[in-house]
Amino acid sequence: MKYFRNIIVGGWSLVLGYSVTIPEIFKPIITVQYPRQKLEMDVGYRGHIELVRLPGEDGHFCLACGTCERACPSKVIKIQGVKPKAGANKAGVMYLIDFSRCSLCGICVDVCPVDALRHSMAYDLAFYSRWDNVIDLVARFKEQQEQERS
Amino acid sequence: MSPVSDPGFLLYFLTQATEREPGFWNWAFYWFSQEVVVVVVGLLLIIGFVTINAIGLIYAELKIAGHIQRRPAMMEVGWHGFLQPVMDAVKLLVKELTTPTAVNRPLFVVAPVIVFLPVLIAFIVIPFSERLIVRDLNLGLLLIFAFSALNVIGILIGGWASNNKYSLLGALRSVSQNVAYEIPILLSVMSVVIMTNTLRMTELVAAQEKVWFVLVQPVAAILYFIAATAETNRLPFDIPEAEGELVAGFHSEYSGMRFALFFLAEYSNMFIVAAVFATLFLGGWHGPILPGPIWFLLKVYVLVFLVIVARWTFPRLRFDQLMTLAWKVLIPFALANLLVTALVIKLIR
Repeated sequence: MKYFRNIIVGGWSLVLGYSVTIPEIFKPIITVQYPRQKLEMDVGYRGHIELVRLPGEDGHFCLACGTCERACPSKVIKIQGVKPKAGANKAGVMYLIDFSRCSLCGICVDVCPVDALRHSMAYDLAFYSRWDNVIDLVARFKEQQEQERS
Repeated sequence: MSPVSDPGFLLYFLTQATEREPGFWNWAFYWFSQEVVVVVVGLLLIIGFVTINAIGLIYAELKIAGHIQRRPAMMEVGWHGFLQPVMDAVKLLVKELTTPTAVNRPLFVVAPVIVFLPVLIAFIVIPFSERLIVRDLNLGLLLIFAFSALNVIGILIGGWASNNKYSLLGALRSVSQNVAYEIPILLSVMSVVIMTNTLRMTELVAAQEKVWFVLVQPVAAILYFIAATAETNRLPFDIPEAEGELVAGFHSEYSGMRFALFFLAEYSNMFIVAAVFATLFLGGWHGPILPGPIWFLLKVYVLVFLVIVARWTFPRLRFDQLMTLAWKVLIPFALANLLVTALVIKLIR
């Protein structure tokens, strides 16, 4: 009896297998043709960091206080700031970060006292040289601002 | 223009001259038109069809695999990657034929040819329609199965000559598998042959004008389908080339056109096995409205589709499971089916 039961159960499993895979062929495709199509990242996505840009404001909010530099567990951040005039707040003029060693932990974003940092939506970071991984966020900020203006 | 290269003259030669002029030349022209022309044209058609069929099936296989996994498969070369298998074929054609130093060279070279030749021979008797058949032999069905058995020898030679433990293991597995599954195939086919009393492919189809044999012989049909899938070394029976265990089985050492011959043979075998199923059980070219060859190809490719989908549906069998399935399930059922068929035929006639 066990012999016949095995055959019937096995035969039925063949039908079940086909009934799973054949309908699957006609369902829509869920992957993306990467270089031609790109996914829109979700709001909660933690990409590499960038300086916050607000629509009305002209500049960034970085004070070059160095809190993120000290908090960074990978020690990949280097900031330089200047005072534009006597008595004014210090402003960051150079914000270097080495993305090749950044682990996207987000501590720099959390500790920033003026909320000048945020995670970006970019996810395809690849460079030809490892020195290209070191990006100046202030320069990137200005570049993007000019792109928006034009 | 010389008379020989003038097509009008040739046509006259082959049609009019053979009727008007008696004697030796009459016979010679008749022989030429019947034998040589049929052989050459038939061979060219078969080789062309085998190639196009293999390229189409590779494309279909990759696309079906992709869509089962909800991805579009290849999209780069040609419209929806249509030229990808063609490019693969070109790449295999122009690739250098590397021969490892440790192999048995003559056997190594001859193995792909032995695997590929039965395919060409089997196509001779496949009836695409009532008239579209290269040679309607009275032992057509036997010819297909006799030469399909040669496939095993080619695989064994290839695996042995490669001088590689994985190739040898793959070849040995393939031989034991094919020998085991040849029996249920032949037994299930026998029960149809007992009913029709013929091995001629066109007569087998003609006998199904009223009712297809899949309705009369459902057990034989199912047994044939399972055993035939195993015979073509397709998943879930692709134990000879189980990638996880044996690299690529018997063709691990092959590359370039020699590998392509193995590949061509595999995809053509799928077609042949499905064509025999369509001929024996699904009424061959019979069907309403559409012309015969289209019906035949439709049935064949539906079966091939099922074989391809099986690859992405069922897991590979373990070797003892494979042997259990053949010797303890398929063969007893095929024997019982044959016995019952024979009894019923005896009682009816």
